[in-house]
Amino acid sequence: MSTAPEDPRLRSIAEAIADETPVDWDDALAETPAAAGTLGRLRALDALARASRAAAGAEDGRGFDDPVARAAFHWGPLAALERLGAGSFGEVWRAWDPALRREVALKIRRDAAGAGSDRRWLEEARRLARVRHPNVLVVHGADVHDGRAGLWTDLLSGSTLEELLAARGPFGAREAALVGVELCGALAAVHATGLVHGDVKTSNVMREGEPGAADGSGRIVLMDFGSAHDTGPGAPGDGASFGTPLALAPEVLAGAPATRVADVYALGVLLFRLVTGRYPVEARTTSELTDRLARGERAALRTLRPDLPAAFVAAVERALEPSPEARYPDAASFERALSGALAPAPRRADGMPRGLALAIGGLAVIALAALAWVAFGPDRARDEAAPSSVAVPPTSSAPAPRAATVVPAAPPQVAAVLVRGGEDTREELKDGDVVGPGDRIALELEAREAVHAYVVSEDAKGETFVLFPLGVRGATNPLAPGIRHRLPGKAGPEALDWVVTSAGGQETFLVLAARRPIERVESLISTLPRAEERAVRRPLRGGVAESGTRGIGGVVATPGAPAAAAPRGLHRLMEALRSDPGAAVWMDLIVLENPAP
Amino acid sequence: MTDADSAPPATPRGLEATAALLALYRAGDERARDRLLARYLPLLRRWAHGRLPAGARSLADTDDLVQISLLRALRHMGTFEPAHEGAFLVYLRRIFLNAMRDEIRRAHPERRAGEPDQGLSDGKPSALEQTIGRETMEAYEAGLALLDEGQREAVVLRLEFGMKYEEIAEATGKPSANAARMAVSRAILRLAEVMDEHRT
Repeated sequence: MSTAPEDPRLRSIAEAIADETPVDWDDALAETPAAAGTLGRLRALDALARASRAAAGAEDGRGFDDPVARAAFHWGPLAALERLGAGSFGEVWRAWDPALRREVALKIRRDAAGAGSDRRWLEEARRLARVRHPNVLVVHGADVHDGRAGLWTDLLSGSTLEELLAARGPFGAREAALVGVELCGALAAVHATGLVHGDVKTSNVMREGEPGAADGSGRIVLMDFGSAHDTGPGAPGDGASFGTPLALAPEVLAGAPATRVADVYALGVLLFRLVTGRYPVEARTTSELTDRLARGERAALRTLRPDLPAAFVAAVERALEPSPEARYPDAASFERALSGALAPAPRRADGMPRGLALAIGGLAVIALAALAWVAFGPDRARDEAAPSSVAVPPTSSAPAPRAATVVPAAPPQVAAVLVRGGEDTREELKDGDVVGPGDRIALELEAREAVHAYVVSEDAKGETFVLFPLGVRGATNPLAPGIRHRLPGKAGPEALDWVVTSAGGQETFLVLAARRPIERVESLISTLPRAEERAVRRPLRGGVAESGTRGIGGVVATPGAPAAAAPRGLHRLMEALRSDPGAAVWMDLIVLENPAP
Repeated sequence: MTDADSAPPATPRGLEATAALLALYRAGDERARDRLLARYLPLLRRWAHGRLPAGARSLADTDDLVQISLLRALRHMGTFEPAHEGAFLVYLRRIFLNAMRDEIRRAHPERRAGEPDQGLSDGKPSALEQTIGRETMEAYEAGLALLDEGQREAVVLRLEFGMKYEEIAEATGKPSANAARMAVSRAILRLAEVMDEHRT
């Protein structure tokens, strides 16, 4: 019998057979031709194992088309169908999730890195699984099976930004800014869990849609959290070992752990690359990269793209500041700057679209930016002097004094719509829609960041009520980002609605949202009656209170009351907020008709 | 046999239940037999599917043969006390394969005594043999016989029964799933090395 020591290559093949993962037999034979005999027998054992699994699958009654029966191997409940790729952290497979009854992407760690490492990785993966944001890849779960840690996510179809860049060439500033805004939201959602991404780059961001499609309408999704790790106390400080060097912040390249501002830097690099097709600092080796960063040798965005709007250039350049303290402190700040480069001109009250029901997601951002770009235009960019390549001061020096630049604070991105309905129905309401007594109304609101929201109503007599926040019951401020909130919220397990309790006149709803409590509004609503203080507490239909329903009353108009001739309080409030540039308040006004019978 | 007055050695959970059921069965408890059948019939049936030679299928279907094998195993266990549940499964496997040979011989009495055993087939391969080849199956069985008991259990439980590493660890007394994984991979490599030696 053979007593030769184990050949590591043969051992790894034996492990692959045991783990039910495919083996490249041609590759193996090329690497160890002397072991052809053993390789042949290993291959036979692999075939025997597969045949046994197939036979067992047939016994279980699974058909040929059953993904479970077609699986290359099983990882826990998932059936791995096709290997999509491999990286430094492991392999990615297209897999079938019988619980979700659809295909998912399964990422399995390459080898057991130790129970401690697996445990930390699982904790971070499970934390990522709690992130629900339209621009973050959904992680469905993470676990360990057969000694291998893995996580499974949505399986996306589309093209990475790197693929789009290669296919189409550099992006326009508007499209790049929109990508940046969405990725800022994604990063903010990830950072809110205590994690940093660690490897933001064009190949880790996908635009959903048909692969190779050139249109820019697909959802932007931040993926590949293989480098994501904890930034909390006690977290291992090994962030510098991850990430793509050309996109790494200088301090991370120097060995510091990755942080939120390092993610901001990486996003700045991404945007720089999108509009130029290159990196701010290019090098062939890490040492060359380090040297160039130390000497401040970096291409200026203005030089490479003199046609870009100044506000966009300024936003990206600040994100690329070598000193972390000089960058945006967080993704939200970067997003405000990019949004500011896209923000529309202030609108007058008499020209303001009323009851504009915004869709949730990227479509609204694109539509808004299209309006803004007409006002912004290229002329302002040409007015800016285009300096030659500048030498950025080394990181050890203090940042150069910045020219005073006032960038108006942009309001938070919010989507809100009034809906009417009961337990099983839902109808969106728009400006001018008719409501009547008994109608149950709620506001669906979603924001990319945490916001303080207010809903105030005014009836035909000019009486103003606070519909949200209620104080004692229902949801409370601030509202969490990335969640479609249904206001006024819940009381225990039951949803609360506003109920139209009588007919006659108009009902005007003013919806406000800001990143911080709006002092002017807080002061106002402290003096106003709240809907729950109204006498009617249950919806009335035909004079009979319905059992099993909840209502808080509130939207009342006196029958036959004429429209108020004096300027309405809500419009005065809107004007006051709009005239305050520091307020950064998102607002919307909807008027519903409530005619007398 | 353990001393009733001393603390019993720690046994894997599965084996403990199996050992208890076996003891009850030997004492004449028919309900223990039924529970053993309920426990191991599905596992054996799943494993045996596709192993019955095509020509032998007219003798008894797989299900009947599995039941026959299991009852035979219980009847002839005698004082056999498997150290692990894995050993018990390997024992059941051997009983089934022997039962299959017996059925084939019974179906073909024209074979003269002393003729070389034609293996598990009368010339018509099983579904498994059709997939990987009879010669490979024979080399595999011969190689298994050359492994030590622990290696044999590791290979059979993983490659044939498709058990998870956690289950193999429990069935073979390994301290962890990863330890079971290492044992399985080492056993596979060892088997590949000795599979051809039966020819020499």
